[in-house]
Amino acid sequence: MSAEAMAALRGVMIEGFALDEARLFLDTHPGDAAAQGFYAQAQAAYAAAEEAYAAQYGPLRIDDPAAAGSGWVCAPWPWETEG
Amino acid sequence: MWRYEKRLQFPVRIVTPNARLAKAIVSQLGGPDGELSASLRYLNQRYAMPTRENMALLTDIGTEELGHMEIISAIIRQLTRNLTADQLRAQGFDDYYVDHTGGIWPQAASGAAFTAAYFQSKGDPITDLSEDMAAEQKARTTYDNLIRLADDPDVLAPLRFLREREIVHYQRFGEALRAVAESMGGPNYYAINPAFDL
Repeated sequence: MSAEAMAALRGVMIEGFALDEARLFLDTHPGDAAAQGFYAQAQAAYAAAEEAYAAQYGPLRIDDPAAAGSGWVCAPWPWETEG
Repeated sequence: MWRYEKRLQFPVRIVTPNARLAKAIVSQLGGPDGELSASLRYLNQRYAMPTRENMALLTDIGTEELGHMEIISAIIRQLTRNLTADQLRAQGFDDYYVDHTGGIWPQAASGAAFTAAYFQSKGDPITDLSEDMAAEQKARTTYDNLIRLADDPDVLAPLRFLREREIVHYQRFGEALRAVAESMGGPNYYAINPAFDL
């Protein structure tokens, strides 16, 4: 995996983590307007980072268009050191 | 249902194998306070939760714990790769190697097999959420212990991330427990089981 691909994947992880963390807060504070706004921003940022990564380096989800090719099978799995 | 995302929640890239450390860290896969027991605990308990918020919280934390199981498994895989039988023996990994070669299998650091007896699903939300708070603290202590054993920054970074998640989950479960107690409307919220008697 190239340095550019690793940086892009790290970007997906960062946006994905913001989404995970905001989700748990909203689970116990579902009416918190500020958290709702943060969550909507995190959703958009995650979707953009994920789509950009998948288009260039291979699918992360089976509904990525790139998953129709061989990338799901052939691109590195997360436990591989090159992954 | 669940769909897989082909990435870790936090990156794992370990340059230097260390089978002795892997044998300690495997406890957070299949040990008494590990990620597998955490995930199964929350995903099984959620059906008896009396509030929408707590159904959501147990579903989402139980899902995150599956991702933590994958982080631990990636750490173990990378710490044990490309080692000879002599190296594995020198690093104290020969007993695990005999049973599992380089495969990932949920066991405690002591070698005890994973068992559902590590967690409870009691069908009482006060009881279950109290267990969940204790479980997060026990997992946090386990990460504290592992962090004292590890000196490789490649291993310490994901361990520290996972330790912090235990603290956040503890906070959220505390909020969930308080919400259930307050919803019972009186000081003696032990009088009934809201998942069974209402």
